[in-house]
Order: sequence, then C-alpha cells, then structure tokens
Amino acid sequence: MKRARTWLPGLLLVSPSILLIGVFVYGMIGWNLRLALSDQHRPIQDADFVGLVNFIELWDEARWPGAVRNAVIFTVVFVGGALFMGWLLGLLLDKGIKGEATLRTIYLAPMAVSFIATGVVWRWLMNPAPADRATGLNALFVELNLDFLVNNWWTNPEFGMAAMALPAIWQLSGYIMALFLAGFRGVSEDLREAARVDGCSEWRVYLYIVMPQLRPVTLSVVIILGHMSLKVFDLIIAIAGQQIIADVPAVYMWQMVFEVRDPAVGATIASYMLIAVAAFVVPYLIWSIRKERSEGR
Amino acid sequence: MTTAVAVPTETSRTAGTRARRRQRRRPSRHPDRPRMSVAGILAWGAGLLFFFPVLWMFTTGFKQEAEASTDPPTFLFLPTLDQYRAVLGRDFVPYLLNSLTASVLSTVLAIVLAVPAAYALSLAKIPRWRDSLFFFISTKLLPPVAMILPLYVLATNLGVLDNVTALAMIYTAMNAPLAVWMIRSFLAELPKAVLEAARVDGATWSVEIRSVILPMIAPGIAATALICFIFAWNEFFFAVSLTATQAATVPVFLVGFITGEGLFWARLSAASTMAALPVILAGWSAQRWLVRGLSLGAVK
Repeated sequence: MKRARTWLPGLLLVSPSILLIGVFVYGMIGWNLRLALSDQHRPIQDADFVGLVNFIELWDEARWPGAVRNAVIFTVVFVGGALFMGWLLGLLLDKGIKGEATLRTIYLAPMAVSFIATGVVWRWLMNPAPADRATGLNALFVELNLDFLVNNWWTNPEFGMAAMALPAIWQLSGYIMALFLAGFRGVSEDLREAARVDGCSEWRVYLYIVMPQLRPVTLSVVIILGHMSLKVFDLIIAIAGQQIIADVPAVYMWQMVFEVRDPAVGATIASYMLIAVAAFVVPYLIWSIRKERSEGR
Repeated sequence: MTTAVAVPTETSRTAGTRARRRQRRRPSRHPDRPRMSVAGILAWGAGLLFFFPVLWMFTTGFKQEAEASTDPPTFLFLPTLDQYRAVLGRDFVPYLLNSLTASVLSTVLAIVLAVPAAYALSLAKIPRWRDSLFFFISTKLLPPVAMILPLYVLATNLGVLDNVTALAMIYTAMNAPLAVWMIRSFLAELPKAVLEAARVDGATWSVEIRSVILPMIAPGIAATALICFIFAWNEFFFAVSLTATQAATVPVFLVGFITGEGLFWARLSAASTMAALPVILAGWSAQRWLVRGLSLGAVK
C-alpha cells in the first residue's frame, strides 16, 4: 500500500497523455502496418494477410525508385547545406558581433513560418520560366550578365531536388545556428585562452579546441535535419504541387491513399517511411535520455 | 504564496549562462581586431539574404499586380490594400476561424494534459519507469504519414471527417509530447529547495502544483503554448487529408489559392502574409524557446 501511494498519483497524472498517444500514435501505426501486410487494394474490400508481398512489389512500381532517389538527393543537399550554413552563422555570431540579438531574430524568423506560406516567395525566386518572363533569381542572373547561372531549378529532371532543398536550408539554418552558437558558447573560455597563450592562432583554436567539443551538437543536428527531410511534404506541395518530377515518398503515399485509393500500397509506403525515420529518431531518443540521466536530472 | 508570480522569467541556470555570456562578450576577446568587422559584414550580409524573402512577400502584398511583376522588384510604390480585399473576398475568413479554433483548442488541451504529466515524470522516483514512459511519449516524432491512413478510415467511420474539433484532437495528440518534454525541462530547472520547503509545510501534490509550481513555471508554460500554437497553425498534412469544405484551415486555403492563381504574385503574397503574420508574431515572442521546443530539450 505504501508503495502504491508513491507511484499511483504519478501514474494517474500521466495516464491521459499515455492514453491519447497510445491510441493516436501506436494504435494507428499498428493498424497501418496491418494494412501494409494485407491485400486490401480498394477502400472497401475484404482483406487477407499476404505478408511482405507489398513491400517487395513496391520496388517494381515505376514511381517508387524515383521518389526514393529524389528523397535521397534532397536529404543530402538539405542536411549538408543547413549544417554548413548553421555552423557558419553560429561561428560568425560567436565572434561577438554588433547587433547580435537582431541578427538572431532575423535568422530564426523563417523557422516560425510554414513552407506553405513561404512557398510563394520561393516559387517566384526559383521560377523556371524562360528569359523574357524570368523572375526572381533567374532575372537577377540575367541582370548581372551571369546568364550561365540561369537554370530551370526544381524542374531539372537530374538534380532538381537539390534546388528544392534551398528553401528548406533557408528555413532551418537559423535554428541550426542557434544550436551551434549554444555549443560554441559552451566551450570554456579558459580552454581557448590556454591554447592562445600556447601560441595557437584563432582558426587553430577553432579547429583543434572548439570543433572537437561540438560533436554531440553536430550529431543532434544531423538527426533532427535527417528525420525532417525524410518526411518532407508541405514544401513539395507548395512549390511543385503534385508534379511527378518532384516526387517524394510522402507525396506518392498521399496520392495512393487519397487519389488512387489503394490502402495497401499507401500503407506500405508509409511503413517504409516510418522505418527510415525511426532509424534516425529512436537512437537519438535513447541517446538524449541517457545523457539527461547522466547529467543527474 | 500567490506573490510567487514575481519569480524572474529566466530560471537560475539560464540566467547564469546569460550573465556569463555577456561578461565574456563585453571585454570582447580581441576588441580591435579587424577580423571582427569582416565577420560582422558577413553576418549582416547573410542577415540581408535571409530577410529578403520575407521582405519581398510583405511588400509585394501591398502592390498592384503590374508592379509586382517588375524585375528587379521595386521598393518604392504606392501601397494598396486591393490584394488583401481580393483575398478576403474569396471567403478567407472561415478558413481563418477554423485555423484559430483548431490551434487554440489543441494548444489549451495539450497544456492541460502536459502539465500534470510533466510533473509526474520529473518527480518520479523510479528512473527506469520514468524513462520508459518518457520514451513512449516522445515517439510522437515518428512521421504523420504512418498514421494518416488509419486516422482517415477512423474519422470516416465515426463521421468526423471534415470536423474542426476532430482536427483539434489530432493536433492535441501531435503537440502533447512536445509540451510534456518542454514543461519537463522547465520543471527540472526549478530550485529543489523551494519544493522541499513546500512539502515540509505539508502541501499535498495538488496544492504543490497549483500554488508553488504553476506560478513559477508560468513563463515556461506560456512559451510552450506559443510553440504548440505555431505548430498547429502551420500544420498542413493532417488538415489537407482530413478536411474538405467545412473544416479546412489556412494552409489548405493557401495551397488551393496557389493552384488557382498561379502567377498573381501580389495576391498570393497578400494571402501568404496573412497566413504568416500570427506565427511571425508568436515566433518573435517565443524565439528563445522555439529552439528548445524543436530539439526537445536536448540542446539548450
């Protein structure tokens, strides 16, 4: 009885949240998996268990490998770009710049706004229309006589997804900057000073003293960005709509469910995405819980 | 204990880092090095680049279509509200109300659920039990695509497709884990002595929550609420999947508008600005916590 008194109130306090998440997250994921393992290819139809057939057959669908390829290109450019920009901006601000607070606000501002709302700007900036109707960046390139830079942005069948990552980099760099800045500021000044006294130049201090201490921050950043980019949906819809050239798994899945109306295939794509995201998120969660515990909280 | 509201906004730990930071910055490592100004120029240049898209969107919304299509964009023009009128003429208001309802309702519910849960999690004595519950709650990070299909079937069967309240429920489930995580991080920063003093005075846990803890973490709760609001306001995937004509929110309206009005840059900008304004204001007042919310407390 005495033991029950210690944990019962706690359990009661958490249980509404547990229930809500249990039903809406785990219940739905389980249901989704059951659909993915069935042959229910029409919304109303009796379904049989077919095992992993859908998971194998998906690779024969014409659209799927393309969507995966696009997602990979997008992820590489987005994670790399945002990581570099965020690191660079953090490094610049770490120098103690006049108006730092204002700059932080400016860098962070894009993050609060959805891709849907900023989509219009990027549609204008990266408008692939030919020279006489060019807008945004293409028009700027023509103006500056840098015609060789004029390109068709996200409509390029080869590397269009790299251009698609630009708005995402713009949106997330400020956030990454904040994480890196916190990391830079967390490196003890005594340590840096000691290195300087030993005759290290400023960039060597960064290279050999500061950077190695930023590995945990870099890891979190890669995981956060990676799981975001695998889920990308809003950005694609806002800029390209549902054009096949900018196809990604989430858009493909959405169309299979809501337009083609094939639950089994939709659920299969969703399951693949779940596995991919979980591969990023689960180790991250375990790692951050452990870290918190070792910090004694 | 009601006067405890006067607890400073910054908890001791963050205030400490801030003070240290300030102190470190002022004597400035190298007060008159030319390199610093190079960094300054680069940083401000980047700031301009980052600011340009927002500026373009904001100004273009006040132009006539003819002015909006000039290149390079003019920043000297006679502002007009025509585009805003045109957008509002497209029945924009119902979408706005739906967005408000879904965002506010889900934010309130998420906070009501998260405060007790975070309290229980941060004070639980058994670490393993606490960690597993915590893990369970955090898995919300998994992608919404993995839940949308069953949710759609469920909503159809229950007859709540295209219903704002149902959408708000889903947003609550989406935001609750985030709110639990954030509030928990604020609780962890409370000075332990205060809590112990309250307990010595014989406060039960409900009294402890209401008159000791809540006033102290009120700023943290406000920040958490702002972030939940931003996420719910921006949410598009569930909205476009589960609503049609009755319950559609602002992002759904915007996407329809983009498809319909393709190259009417001024009108699109006006609509986008209206959609972005609430979250820009909320984000501006919560920017310090936006970072903490997104990284789930892993990085302060």
